[in-house]
Parts: sequence; C-alpha cells; structure tokens
Amino acid sequence: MAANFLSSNSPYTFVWHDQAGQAIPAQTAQVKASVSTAGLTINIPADTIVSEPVILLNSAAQSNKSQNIINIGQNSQVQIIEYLMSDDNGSNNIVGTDINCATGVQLKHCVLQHASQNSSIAQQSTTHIYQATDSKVTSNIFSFGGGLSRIELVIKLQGANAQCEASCLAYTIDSETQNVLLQIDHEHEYCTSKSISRGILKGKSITDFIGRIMVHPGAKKTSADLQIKNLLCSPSAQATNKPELEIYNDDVRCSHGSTTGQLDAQALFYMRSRGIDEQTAISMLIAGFVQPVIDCCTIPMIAEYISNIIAER
Amino acid sequence: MKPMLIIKNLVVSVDKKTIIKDLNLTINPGEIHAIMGPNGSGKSTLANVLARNQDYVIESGTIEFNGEDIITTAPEICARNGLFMSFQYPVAIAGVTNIQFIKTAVNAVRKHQNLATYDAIEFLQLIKEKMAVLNMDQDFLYRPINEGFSGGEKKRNEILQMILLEPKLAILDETDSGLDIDALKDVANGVNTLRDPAKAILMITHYQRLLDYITPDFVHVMSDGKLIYSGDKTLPAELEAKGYAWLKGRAEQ
Repeated sequence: MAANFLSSNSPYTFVWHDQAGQAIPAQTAQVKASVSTAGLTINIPADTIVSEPVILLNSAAQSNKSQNIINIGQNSQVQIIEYLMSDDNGSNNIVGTDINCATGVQLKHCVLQHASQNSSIAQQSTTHIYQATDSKVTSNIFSFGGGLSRIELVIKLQGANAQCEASCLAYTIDSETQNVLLQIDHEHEYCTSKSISRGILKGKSITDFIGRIMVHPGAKKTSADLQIKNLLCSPSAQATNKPELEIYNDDVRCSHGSTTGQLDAQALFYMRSRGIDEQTAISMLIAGFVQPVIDCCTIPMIAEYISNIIAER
Repeated sequence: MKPMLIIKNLVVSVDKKTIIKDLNLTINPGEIHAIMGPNGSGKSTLANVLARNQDYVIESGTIEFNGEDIITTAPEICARNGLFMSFQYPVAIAGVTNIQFIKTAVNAVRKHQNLATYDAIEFLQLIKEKMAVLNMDQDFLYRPINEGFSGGEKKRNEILQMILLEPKLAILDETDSGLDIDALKDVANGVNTLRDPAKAILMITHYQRLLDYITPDFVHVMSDGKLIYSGDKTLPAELEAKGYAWLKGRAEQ
C-alpha cells in the first residue's frame, strides 16, 4: 500500500487562523479523525483560512453510519478530505456529508474511497455541497478497491458566479464494482461548472458512472462541461457511462462527451520499440490517461497519494 | 567482420495480404543503405517488421540482427539490443511527458546493456545538449509525447530519441517526408552524428533530397515487395531523372 498521507504531517491536528493570522484555539479545532456514528458538525467562522486539510476519517472497522454537516462562513478557505477506508474485516460504511459554502468561500474537497482489496464490504458516501454567490469549489472523487462502493457527489450552485470544478477517478480491478453519481445542479444564473471523469477497468470489474448536469429554470448564462472517458484494460471488464444533461432554460452553454476505449496498440508498440517493456508502457499510458484528473486535484498531499496508488495498482 | 543484419527470403503479410515477397538484404557495420521505391512497394512494411511490429506477420524467411534470429523477439528486446526505427508517423501520447518517456527508454536500454543508468539531473543535461544539435526548443521536454508537434518537430523528436538511444542499426522510415529545408538539415546533422564504423543505417525514402545530406553506400530499389535493383550513391539522381518505371522495365527483362 502506498505511504498513507494520514501518517505524515499530522493532519489530525490543525490550526485555525482568523484574517489577522491569529490562531483560534477554540473547540472548533478539536475535530479528531474518527467520526462517531452520529456524525459531527463543524462550523468554520467567516474570513478564516484553515491551513491544514480537515480529514473526515470514516473507518469501517466497525459498522459506521454517520451524517456530518460542515458550515463554512463567508470568504473562508478550507480543504476537506472525506476518507472512507476499510480493512479486510471491515463492516459496511455509510456516510453522508452536507457542506454549506457561504458567499465567497473557497473550498477544496475530495472523497477518497480506498477499501482493502480483499474486503467484500460495501462503502457508500453521499456528499452534498451547497454553493452561495461567488463561491469556488474544486471537488474530486477517487475510488479504489472494495467489493462494492457507491459514491454520490451533488453540487448545487445557488448563487451568482458560483464556480465548481469536479472530477472523478474510478480504478477497479478483479471483481470490484463501483457506482458513481456526479451531479451538478445549476440553480442560479451566471454559474459555471466543469466536470471530468476517468475510469480504468481491469479484470472482471464493473463501473457505472452517471454524470448529470441539471440546468434549472432561471439559471441563465450557465456554462457547464462534462467529459467522461473510460479505459478498458481487459476484455471482461464492463463500463457503463451515462452523461445526462437536463436543461430547462435558454441562453446556456453546455457540452458533454463520453468515450470508452482500449489501450492504444500503436502507442504501446511505439513505446516498446524504444526499449520500454510492455508492463511499464501500460503503466505509463494509464498514468497519462488519469493525469487530467490528478491535475484537477488541488490538495497536493492527495494528488501525490493518488499517483502512488495508481503506480502500484 | 560479422554482418549487422541478414534478411533471407523474407515473406511478410498484413491482414492476410502478402506485402513483402522474397526479400534479401545484408547490411554490414559501418554501411549506410537506402531503400527507394514507389508507394505501396513494401518499404514501410519492411521497417515495421524489423522493429518487430506484431501486426506484420512473417510467413517465411529469416532475419538475423547481430547474429541472432529476431523473428520471435519482442520489440523492446530488439530495441535494447541496439535496433531503432524512426517512425514515419510518430505516435502522440497524451499525459506522458516527452522527457519522462525518453528517460525511461534510455535507462531501460542502458540497463540491458549493463551501462550505468542516468539520474534525472544527468539526463536533463544530456538531453539539452542533444536538443541543441537538432535546434529543438526545450519546451518539448515537458510536453506530452508528440502531441501538437508539427511534422518537423515530430521527426526531430524521433532523431533526438535515436541519438540518445545510440542504436547499432538505425532504420529511418521516411524521416524526410514533411520536412522543410531547415528541419531536413537538422535531421541530417543528427543522423550523421551516428556515423561510426560499428554502426549501420537503413534509410527508407521517396526522394533524393535526404540522400544529398546523408550519403549512402548502397541504394536499393524496392518494387512489389522485392528489391529489384541495387546501385551506389549515383543511383538516386538517375532515378530522379528517369523515374521508377525505367527500372521496373529493366527488372522484367
């Protein structure tokens, strides 16, 4: 397993700063990694820059079912990592998280589902992000391992000039099954969203990806892009892509695309003809295929962690 | 002196269509050979077979490279043993940077040949030196392999890889096509740095112009899957004047 980002840099503790750079030693800083069965509420005050990522660790060591609420005050900047993990003996892990972003909030968010390869447990997470005026969100889903997982990420753009960039990476092997729903709701005019998804499938694995963009009545001047690509590395892997675009409005600019393909035989031969063995060439092609999703991840420790997992898979 | 490459009675098919029909060719170390010929005569097929592209099926015949039969050898093993093909259409690969690709290749080859591998800093210095010879901008290092490269840039990139991989036998498949005069000169300069009594070059081309800068020892004409005529460096000029039809007629007589 790749070096775990949890062990580095002590992200269990983090320091709050107000606008003047003063640390806030309040009870708000007492969020430990482990989430109770009831869930937790985090209130982050306005005009606050949280320097270290907030990590919500949802471990399925015991059956876990939690509902979390995170309220981020005006103009604050926060990084949130939702981490769903389980070992071989884990039980089901069901998590819901609501994140409310007030005006001008800048949020970097990711959902990392990484179950043990042998685990047969089900992991499910549902995250709703509500964006007010001028808020800016990047949100990345990374899903690896586990018998069955379902990740839902719903981003609601509810104020003018709210912007989001969302991405999804699902990398399945053996007989893993993964479902992902990425939904962007444009509920207000003048909002933009950009979503990309990459799926890599090996063995007999199955992924099911729904990318849904809803442009609600009144959401004029919407700009929305959705791009889905899957790479099938095995003849028995199965990918289902459903790009869904529902537009209840005029005066919008929306695009979507979806492709599923195999490793490029020409590219493989080209690399092998330069002395690179087939396995390394495949690894390099896969790394190249997922690069846009890694680039989309704005939390450096996660980007690095994901690159390592991909190199090892 | 042992020959570098011996091809005997080679028959090759693609999609069950026979493209190369009974081809024979021997290349010794230090020699530069050129194969010319009309479109569809099988020139690029020959280059691809030598580089061990599995899409091309060897029906019969033998290919010996450095005394070893390479008919069942994997492309990466041939490459590590010193065989290089410059692609007619270099492949673009998204997401993999040029420097990462070339460094991985060079180190794989060097490791196989029991040479010291380069670390990142050594390699960067080396590749920058070689890029200067080819008048290549250093931006190319960090761009995805061949993606958005112009025709000339792709061919310069092929020659850059060739110079760094230091092959014993370099096969240049229409490296001159799509090049302007400056690029042609840069490419020729790059190829000429490889000239060495222990190394050999096989150039495949339609035109005389590359041969003006890289003088061949032998020029062969390929037609309908066979080498129908061989001459010296004066042959291309004669071909340019008289066309391939002249030789086809002679071969049939």
